[in-house]
Amino acid sequence: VRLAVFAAQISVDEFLPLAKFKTHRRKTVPPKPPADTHCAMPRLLAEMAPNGCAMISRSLGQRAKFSFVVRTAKRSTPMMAADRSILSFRVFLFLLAAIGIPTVARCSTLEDSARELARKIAEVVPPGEKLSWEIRNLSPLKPGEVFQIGQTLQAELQERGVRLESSGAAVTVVVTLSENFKNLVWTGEIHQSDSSQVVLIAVERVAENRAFSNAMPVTIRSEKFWEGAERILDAGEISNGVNESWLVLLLPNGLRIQDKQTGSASTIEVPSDQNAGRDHWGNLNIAQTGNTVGLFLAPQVCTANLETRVLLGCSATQVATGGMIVDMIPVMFDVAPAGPPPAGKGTVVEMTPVCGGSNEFLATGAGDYTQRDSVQVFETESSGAGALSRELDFPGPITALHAGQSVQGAPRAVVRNLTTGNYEAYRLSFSCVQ
Amino acid sequence: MKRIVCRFHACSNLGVALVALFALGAMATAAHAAPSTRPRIGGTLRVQMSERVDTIDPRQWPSAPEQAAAAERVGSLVFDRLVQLDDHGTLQPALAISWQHDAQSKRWQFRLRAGVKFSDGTPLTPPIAAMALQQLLGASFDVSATSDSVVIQTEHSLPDLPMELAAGRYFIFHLGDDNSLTGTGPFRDTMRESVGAIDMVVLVANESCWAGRPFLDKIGLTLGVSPQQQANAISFGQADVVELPASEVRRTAQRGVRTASSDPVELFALVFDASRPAVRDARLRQAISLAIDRASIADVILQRQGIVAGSLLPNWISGYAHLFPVTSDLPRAKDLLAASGRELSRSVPLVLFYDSSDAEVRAVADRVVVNLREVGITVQVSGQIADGKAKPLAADVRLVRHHIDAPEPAAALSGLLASFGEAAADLEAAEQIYAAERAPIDAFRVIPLVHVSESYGLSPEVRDWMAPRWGGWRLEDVWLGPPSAAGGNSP
Repeated sequence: VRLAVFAAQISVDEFLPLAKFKTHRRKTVPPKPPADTHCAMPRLLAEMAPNGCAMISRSLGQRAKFSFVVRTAKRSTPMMAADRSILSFRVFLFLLAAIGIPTVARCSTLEDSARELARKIAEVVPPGEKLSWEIRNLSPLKPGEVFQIGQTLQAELQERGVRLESSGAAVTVVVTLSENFKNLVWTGEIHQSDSSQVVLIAVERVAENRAFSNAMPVTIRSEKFWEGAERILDAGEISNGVNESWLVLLLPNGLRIQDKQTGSASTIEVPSDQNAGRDHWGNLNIAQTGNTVGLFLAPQVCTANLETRVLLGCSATQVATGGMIVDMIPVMFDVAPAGPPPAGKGTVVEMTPVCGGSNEFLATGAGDYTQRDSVQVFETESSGAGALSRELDFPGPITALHAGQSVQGAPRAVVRNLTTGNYEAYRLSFSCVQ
Repeated sequence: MKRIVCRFHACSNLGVALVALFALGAMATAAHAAPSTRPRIGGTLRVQMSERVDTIDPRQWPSAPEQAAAAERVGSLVFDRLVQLDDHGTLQPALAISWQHDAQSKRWQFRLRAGVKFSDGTPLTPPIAAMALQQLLGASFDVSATSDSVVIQTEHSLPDLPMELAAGRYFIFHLGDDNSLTGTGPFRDTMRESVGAIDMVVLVANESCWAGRPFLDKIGLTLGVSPQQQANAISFGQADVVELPASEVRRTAQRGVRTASSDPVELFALVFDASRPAVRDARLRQAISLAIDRASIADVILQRQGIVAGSLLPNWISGYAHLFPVTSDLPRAKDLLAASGRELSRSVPLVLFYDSSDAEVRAVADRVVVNLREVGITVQVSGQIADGKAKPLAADVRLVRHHIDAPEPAAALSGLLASFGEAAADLEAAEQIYAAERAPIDAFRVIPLVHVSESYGLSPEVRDWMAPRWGGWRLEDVWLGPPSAAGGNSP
């Protein structure tokens, strides 16, 4: 049996000093990787393929880790050593955008919608007429958001020449922030003498950030970065580090690529055996910076060009085909820690340790797809698994969890929201409680 | 039971050989993390239904709405359509992977999915699909086949054709040499047996289903079972899935049976024939609206499985149901009645028609009659059944129960208005939909009473019951697990 191991796309040279520090006890045999592949070799190489290698990754907690990855046999383009300063700057920019954009987008969406509703109300109210109004919230919007909507609405009405009074006005308006299964629905009931009129707008739901914090050493935070009706197996945001970024969705039969600058989207069909059953699975490699994305969609790994939106190639991962992966970007599989899941937990997935810990893993609940789910960080100890965080709840079952080991990028969870029926992609992050 | 992903953590201790095996295992089996419980393949799901389904042949579709709904439910296990609706009521590809139309929406072209086979092994081809649709759509449509597509042409503009093809009997079927019907759906119909008023149908998993083999090996459908028998069957472990009337949901749950309910998808409403002299005066109709105690219908008759309705569409579909407040005001009702000049109690009574074969409708009708008597309106009920079908007499008002088939506000409202005999105008913008809904309510031609959910009783073994929120089922996604892990009621 020949082991096929992906090679790391990211040059190990970049991490080499740290890797050497953390792995100095490991006796490595001189590697025989492809000429343009940089990788460290694990011990007991004889058990591996001649050109197999291990990948070294580094966590946020400045810990390096050996993890085995399936290797590419060769590359279509020579691998260049990365410039650490440029990469760090790109990472900084990407994180800045990733953290900042959703918040800004949500605010602008709600405020824009408030202006739109104000415009519709102003069209109905006679010019110069005095108006009193109230706002009711029947939706999940938070009080702060409702306040902001009210402020924007009021400002826009005044901008349009409507005179607002606290009471005694000839025209009264009741603004209700409601929702249906698809959108937020905002209504304005305009009452004038014995007649009334209604204006409505539908407001798209936008991403939300949630976090859970308590006295546990690790706090999990989730940030919803995509929501849609279509079932996805994985999702991620990829930047080429310069000026382009894409939202990439892994579907059971292909890859959806959306340019975040232009909004244009297209789908690449990826042949797979996913339809042999209804239990679809796969994952993306979203850690790299560049214009390509790697994906695993059983039974093969593929590479797609994000700019040209072309499938560059696929190779089967099955042993029967020789296990050789040609021209592939590495894709790391999710792995589970040894031993059974903690009591009451379902799937467990090893994660890159955080907060100075080791042997950490994520665990979900034990329910089926009709029940709400949660994630929780655990650490394997000699006496069993110990919880490092509280459960972070989600509005539905987690249909996919990618722990973000090494080349996979940040941990991600795909959730089917039981209320809306939508699939939602969350980016998970962890912070250490002092 | 959760998915097992490859055990990788102990690599440093167990050595690379073990790691290699794990890695291979990961690739070959389940090197992924799909966190919720992994489905099991196998088992027979025992399902009971009230309606009898004489046939699922789309060419011989029943005309009665309840029977058609039951036939559609069973038919969807065997057949597929060109397009389907997702959880949002949005069109998604099914046997057609894309579709386009001309500027007038008179010519539609549906490109078929490649590699699909019927359960008898016959490949799905454009001519077969075209032949099936031609028989279902009728002569006013010209259905033809190209190399990879089905083309539907008509003289009239049909902008909503894909939406229509996503529901009802528009299944793609193949007629075998022996006149047997086969489909491309997740199951195939293998056996049918009738015992008295009860039909037994056995469906077997379609191993070559294009969308994936279902988890269940078989579905045993028992049709024509009374609601009481179904409630007993689920309580005593003789069925896995039964239909539950709203009034039975709480009682069944109290017996420890899992229940699952959709969002409110049925509307109970009074629909007036405004041309009838007895109810021509809008003040009388308004008085009736004010006299009815909807809360007691929802809480008592329907055992809190109903929601008081002032609108036709439930709020989860429209988002603006708060614009239709519900009021019950007996003094005002009496005033309006007096002002209308009608003395129904002494002259001709109001004729109320309802389907007396439906126990819940009958119970709601009884409550309406009581409420109306309280304001002095005498009601003559008319719930005659002839030949097993309810036939309306010359009624002033009908108590109707309408199932909302689509979650899209425009489509849902269009269906409701059509069933009430109301004209549906353009339903595109939110304001248009609201106005169309407002008109019959403001005129008191239609008085909404309650919205009710569709409910099922489930055995502890049933997993992944992920029915659409507007009712129905998706048995292809259901699987059977050990009874101990299940519990609680599904939303």
